Parts: sequence; C-alpha cells; structure tokens
Amino acid sequence: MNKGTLILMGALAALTAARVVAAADPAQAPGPAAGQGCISLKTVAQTEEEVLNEQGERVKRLAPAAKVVPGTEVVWTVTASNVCGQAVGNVFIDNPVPEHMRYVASSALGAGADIAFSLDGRRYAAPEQLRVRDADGSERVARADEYTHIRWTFRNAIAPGQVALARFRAVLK
Amino acid sequence: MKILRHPMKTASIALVALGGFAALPQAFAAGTLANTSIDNRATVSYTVGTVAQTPIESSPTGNSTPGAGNGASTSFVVDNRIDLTVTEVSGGTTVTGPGATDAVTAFLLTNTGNAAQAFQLSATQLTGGTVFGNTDNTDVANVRVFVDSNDNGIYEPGVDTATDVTSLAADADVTVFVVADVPLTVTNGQFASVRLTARAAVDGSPGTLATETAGPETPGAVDVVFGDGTGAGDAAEDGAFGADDQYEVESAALAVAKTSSVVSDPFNGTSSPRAIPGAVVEYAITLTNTGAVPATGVTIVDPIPANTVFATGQYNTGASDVSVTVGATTTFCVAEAGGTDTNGDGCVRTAGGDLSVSTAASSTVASGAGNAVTVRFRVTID
Repeated sequence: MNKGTLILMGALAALTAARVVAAADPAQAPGPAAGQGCISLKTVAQTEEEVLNEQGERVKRLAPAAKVVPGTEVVWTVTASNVCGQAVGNVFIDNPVPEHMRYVASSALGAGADIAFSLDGRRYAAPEQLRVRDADGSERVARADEYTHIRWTFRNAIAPGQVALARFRAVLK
Repeated sequence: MKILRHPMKTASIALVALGGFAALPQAFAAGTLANTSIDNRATVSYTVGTVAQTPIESSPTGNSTPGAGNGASTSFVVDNRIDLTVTEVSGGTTVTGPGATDAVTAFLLTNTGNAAQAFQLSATQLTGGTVFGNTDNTDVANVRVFVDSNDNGIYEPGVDTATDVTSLAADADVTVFVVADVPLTVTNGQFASVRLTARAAVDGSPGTLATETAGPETPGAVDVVFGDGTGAGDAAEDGAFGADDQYEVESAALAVAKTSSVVSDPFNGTSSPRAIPGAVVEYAITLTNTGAVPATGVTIVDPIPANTVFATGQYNTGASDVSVTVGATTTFCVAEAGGTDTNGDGCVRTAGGDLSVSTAASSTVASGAGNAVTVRFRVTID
C-alpha cells in the first residue's frame, strides 16, 4: 500500500463531500491494497429448518434459504470481516429491508451494535422515535413492518481478522 | 462523529438506488408472485484511523471492493405456493323439482396462491351426510361442471362450456357451476348433495395436475409448495379444495277425495232425498296439495257413472254445469257435450263420456289445505 493511493482517496472524499472535517495523517493510517477496502462484507439469506438432533429432539437450524413463499421468514445475516492489517472504526452497516419483505419486529441483532431504523433510508432513529402520520392526520409510532432500512452502528473497532455480525428477519409478503 | 457524515450520505444514496422502499403494486392475499427475485445488499461504512473510507457493498460471498455498484445482491426467487379455496355461493340449497333439467348449484373458486394456476374441476354426488342441516337421501343425474365464462354468475348452456379452468391469476376468482338433471322419481322434501373439488394444475395445462417439488430447494428455480387448507373431502396441503352444495326437491303432492250426496228426488224433492231413479246426485272432487310448490296444468277427468246422465244447468242459476271452489271463491263453467270446449272455459264432456275440468281456477293447485280445489257436478239417476 503506497501513500499515493491514500492521498488520492482522501482527495476524492474531499471532492464529493464538502464536510469531511479531519484529514488523516497518511503515515498513521496505511490503507488496504489498491482497489480493495478494509472490510469484506457478505450477505447470506437463510431459512430455519427443523431437524432431529442426536437426542432425537426437534431443533431449529439455519439452512440456505429454501422454498420461500409468501409468509416464509427469511433470516438475513450480514458479516463484516476486517481484511486489513489494522483496526477499522466507526463501523456501521446499512441494510434496506428487501422489496416484497416485511421486517419482523425486534428481530434485528448484532453484538456490540446499536440498532436504529429508518422509514426513508435517510433519517435513522430508535423505534420509539420513528413517527408516521396517518391519513386522518393523527401521529403515531411507526410499526416495525413500516421500517425500510436498518442500521447497525458498532460501538467498538473491529480488529484485524475479526468479524462483526448483523442479522435480521423478514417475512415475504 | 462528524467525519461520518460523508459516508452516511453516500450510503443513503446507494440505498435509494437499491430500491429499498420502491413499493410495487402487488396482490394482497396471494402475496408476492412466484418467480419474483428478492434481492438484498448491505453497505458498510467505516474509518481507518480517522479517515472515512469509501463504503463497501455486500455480496453473497463477501466483497471488499469499495464503491457503489461493486457489490452484488444476495438473491433468491420466490417459490410457487399453491393455495386455493372453493366456497358454495348461495349459502343454501338449490330448490328444484322432479324432472328439472340443468338444475344449477354455484361455487366460487379463488386462487389464493402466488402464481397463475390451472384447475381441474370435478363434481361428485354424496351419499348420506349433512349439508345445510339436511341429510342427503337421493341423487340427481347427469352431473356436469361448467366454468362461468363471462363472469355473470348465471349458468348459460352453450355459453358456459369449459369444464376446467385453464388459467386463473393469483388472487383471481371464478364461478363454477355444477349442473344436474333431476329424476322424475324424486319426491318432495328429498335432498341430493353434491361436492365440487378443484385441483391445482400446471398453468395453461389443466390436464396436468401440479405436484410439489420433492427434496431440497432448487436454487434459482421456482419450486412448488402446497399451502392449501382443508376443504370438504380433502386434506390440507394436497393441492385440492372441495365444497358441498345441495339440491332440495320441492314438488307438488296431490291428494284426491271424491264424495257424493243426493240433492233431490222426484218424490221428496230436496227434503231427505233418496237415491232413486230420477234423483239428482252431486259429486264433489277435492284436490289438496300437500307438497311444497303449486301443482300446475292440472286436469280433472271423471267418468260419468254408469246408469246416470250428466245434469246440465245445475249451478250459477241454471247457466252453468260445473262449479269450481277454491277457498271462499267459486267459479263456474259449461261442460259442452261432444268433446269440443266451444266457449273455451276449460270444461267439456269428452266423446267417451268423461267430464274434463281444467279451468283457470282449477288448473293450478297451490299447496295447503286452504288452497284445495273442489269441483262439483251433478248427474241424474236413470
């Protein structure tokens, strides 16, 4: 990784957004290889299936999404792996609730992450702070099935080689 | 956190492009149509040191190339849930009568699955069992099934000719008629139950029944899953749904009673008359309908008894030969001799010597004792 690349990236950021405040010291923050970011981001769709374990008990396990029809609950798992030689910080993952799907209330989870939701993909907030106006003009707290986006904000940096996980469930409409 | 503002913005723009809240019009009950691709792509924003990095989109296998459009959606296609309902339309029996043809019971077939589907239709007669609280105790004949081709809810012979549904869109419904003929042998108060069963078939090919896709998911392909409930005579998740309806026989049931009384004789007049030669005797024939529907086209034929002569001019102050009483109303007619009803009042004496009565008042016998029809005529004993 050479300094030229990093400087170029910083310049690009400055060009496209006037509000970049801090410019990093290139010497302290060597970036990843050219054309590659520090995080490998992976999304997997799974469904729960019931299987019998060794004790003959019915247990649920996740398997690649199978036979998804309206009403089927799909588990979406996003993994962020740090593929750099240094920690990454201020990590947040945004995920739209897929089209034709309805977010399952309280299903979003992520260790060490604060989870917020959005009704438009722009403003994210805690569930109780998301309000919608009904046709009759009355205001109410948005229902979970009205969320369009989910954001996981990780409180801690992800060390090299470590993985952060974000997961939610959505039902096919 | 200020430094995050730029990545946040770009992330939001990327998400808009991914269509997170583009709500396409779609069927409600049936749900997302089969073969719809469900796509999902996450975006991560982060800093290295204090430098905001270009956000990275996800891919099914893991993507680390920064920038919008460098990720790939994790996708699957929606499989085909076959679901259907059949409901009886009227909520009650179809009332019919002996000898009726093309008696109709109607059903509504609804495709509640998430893909267009063909449906095989079949009608069967039930033996015993209760429908609408009535126990099946007879059968109809010539049972057929037809699809309401023009969606008007009325069976039209020659118009509604299809016997299967070739293609019914998700969430759409169609009326199906079970059509039968009613034997003459059935009687008032009998019930004949019929069952319509629809079976999901391959869209466009009603001859090929749909089958569930066996084994594990076929990625990228539309698998078939049965999601139907339990109908009449079928199990849940069998791709079939049945519903029952019933024909109720309502017919006329006529009872005939005949009485005679001596009106007068040549010696005693009307005071305690005797049935002696020259006496006038009145016959009263009473028809009572104990059935459920009026008897129509009724003609009463009674031979003039041997050794008697039909007495004319006995009613209506000598103007009429026969009286017809229904309830409190009495009408009269003239029974011409020779077999020709010259005045067209429905009464005539046939060439064979029978009295034939079918007047406006007597040709229809409504049910109930109060609607009984009594025909009176008189003869003179030789």
